[in-house]
Amino acid sequence: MRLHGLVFGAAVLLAGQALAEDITLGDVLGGTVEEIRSGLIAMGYDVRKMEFEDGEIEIKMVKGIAMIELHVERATGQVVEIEYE
Amino acid sequence: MRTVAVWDPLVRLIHWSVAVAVFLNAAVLDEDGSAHEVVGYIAAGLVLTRLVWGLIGPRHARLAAFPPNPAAAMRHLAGLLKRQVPAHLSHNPLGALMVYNLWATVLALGLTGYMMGTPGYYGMEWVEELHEALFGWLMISVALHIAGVIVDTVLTGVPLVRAMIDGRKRLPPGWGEE
Repeated sequence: MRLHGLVFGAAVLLAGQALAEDITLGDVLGGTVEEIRSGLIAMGYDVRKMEFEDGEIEIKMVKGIAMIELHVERATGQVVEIEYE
Repeated sequence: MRTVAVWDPLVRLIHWSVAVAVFLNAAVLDEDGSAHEVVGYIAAGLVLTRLVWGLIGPRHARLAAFPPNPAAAMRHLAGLLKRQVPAHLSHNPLGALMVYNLWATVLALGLTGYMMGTPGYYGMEWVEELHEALFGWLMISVALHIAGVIVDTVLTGVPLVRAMIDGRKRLPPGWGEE
């Protein structure tokens, strides 16, 4: 019973950690394109494309089966839009 | 003047539906929108339906009535330059090549469009560039197709657009079936 409790606790902890590694609106990813890219890769995203557009960086990336288009403000490195395809 | 029924209703419906779908995706719909995807899949589905119809449909609709034949197409092109072109009940050899080209391009656009929406190819630059290049090629092909229809209509005297509307080709006296 106690073992089950421990396993459950570990699972909750891991799940929480996985969620914490997902990108959220307002996150600041870094000041340079390379910092942004490596930050996303460290979070487990497969960064496919980065394009500059109207003061923003449009990023297309994949995590598992989730396909995500991210808009990052170029000046601040802040995530301003997340779109799940 | 004799008239011959050549294009059955399904051939005509598919032809004009694909034309409308291409127009919508090229000039009206947002290329990032879901409507663009739906219309693209409908166009690809219509082309696949036409290919099946080309195997089981009536005589003039069958693929066997207009097999891809580059040598015959070149002869037809040479005839065009000399202003000597025979009328055909189905597609002429040059038109047949264009038909297969248009169908292949629409299908390839549907396939690359589908790929762009899968995790394996999402955001892959080469897939997006291929999709765009295919679209550019489709626009060139459509322009050539329309020009070919106009030139053929003028030289043979057979109104091709009207035939694709009411299904009947009006053949001038003396024209034999080829």
